[in-house]
Amino acid sequence: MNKIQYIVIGGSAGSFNVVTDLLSELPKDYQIPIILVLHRLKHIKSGFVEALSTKSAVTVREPFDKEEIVKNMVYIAPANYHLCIEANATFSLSVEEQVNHSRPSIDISLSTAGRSLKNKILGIVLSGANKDGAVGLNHIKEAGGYTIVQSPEDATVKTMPDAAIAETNPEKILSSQEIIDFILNLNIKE
Amino acid sequence: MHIKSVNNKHILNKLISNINLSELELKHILAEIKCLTGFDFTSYSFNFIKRRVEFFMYQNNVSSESDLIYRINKSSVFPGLFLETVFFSSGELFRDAEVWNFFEKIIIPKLIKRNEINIHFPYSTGAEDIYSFLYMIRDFNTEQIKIHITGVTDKHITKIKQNVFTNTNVKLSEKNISLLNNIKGVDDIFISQNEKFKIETNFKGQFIYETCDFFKKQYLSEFDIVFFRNKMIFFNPELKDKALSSVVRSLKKGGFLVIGEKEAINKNSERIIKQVKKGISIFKRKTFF
Repeated sequence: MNKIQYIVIGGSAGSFNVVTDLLSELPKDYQIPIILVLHRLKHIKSGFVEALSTKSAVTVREPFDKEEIVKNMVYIAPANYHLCIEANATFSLSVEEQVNHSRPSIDISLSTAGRSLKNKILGIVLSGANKDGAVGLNHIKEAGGYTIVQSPEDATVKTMPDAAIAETNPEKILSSQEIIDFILNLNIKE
Repeated sequence: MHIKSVNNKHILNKLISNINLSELELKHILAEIKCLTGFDFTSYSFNFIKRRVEFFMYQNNVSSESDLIYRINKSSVFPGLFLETVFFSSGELFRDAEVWNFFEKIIIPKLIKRNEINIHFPYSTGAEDIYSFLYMIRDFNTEQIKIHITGVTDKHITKIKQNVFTNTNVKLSEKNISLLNNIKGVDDIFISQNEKFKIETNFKGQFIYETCDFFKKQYLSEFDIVFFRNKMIFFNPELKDKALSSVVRSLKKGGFLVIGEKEAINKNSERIIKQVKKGISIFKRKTFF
């Protein structure tokens, strides 16, 4: 496994608890930027970042277009935008068509992350009720990145993990706690 | 009003396909497009333009760079279809309802007192923001308002003039409409005709339509409001700065610039414009500049 420099996590129905558990366990000095792409209601903008921030010792924020991805930060895809990752490690946003009825689409974030940053990426797909993320995760794998899917047995809703496993054949299929432990073990102290 | 549920199955996964053009292949395609249409997409955000080209290829069953270049050169309609794919419209009216509520409550009542009001919608590829705005000013005296609409192509201008929205547009806008002040629902806003929808406007002012290259025509201190929402996200940083500088210069002193919720302004522009309220993506040109 190459040195992972960016983590992109996609989740939908049933993933919120996994994400809050992860954030609550992140140490203050966790270095690898974590990019969360969660399906959310487009018209509810306030409260989401705040709710996640209260659980996290690491700063949680919604990025602006063309913002640089920096260490020791958790990013959340803004409501009603697709979040893309560019080769120079910046974000770009888009208001293109919904994908899998979703904007942000996990497929778009994972795919652009994989194709732009290749083997520096760890892509993770969590619980969810549609197939978003499966194609994007496969693009990460094809580009040399590392892929993990939440175990369908462990997921609240298994449609998304099932689809991701079928499309990608990921390196690891883990329970939510194992995913959290895996991420914590990657921490690079500088 | 009956609104059918939207079936967007046709776009599922196509925006992200397994076509994966290299940087060089994309460069060749964009050079060809520039030759044929005059539009230069080389300074667009890389992932965006790559995705639109791949989406176009997927839609039209084109499998390779060379096949695309061949078909663009052979077919008289292909270049136009390509431009339609790149210059898509978001389809959503009243996006970011808080911006429209702020306009109706705070900005329009102050602005409407001016003798002449010039409003610009540059780089227009859709009618959504234009008709959202026209609806918000429906109860004001609008005779002194001139609305300048600069389309990217003539086709866009024709579409904008029609004021016709589809069931999909209405459905995509429903949540936004539910957040508008003093609006009960879509029935307040749309008139339904043969499964198409029109926005009820009461506009008495003047429309000025034009098709031109946004980056070639410069305006200086001409507009009271410029709507430039979610356009700069498609440009690379250099082109974004150029576009931002251009729209900022086109504002009158005290004029307003409206950008997308997650678009940021740069240091240069910060000297000239100031956000009117935290969390609202409307900026006002300072009067001492």
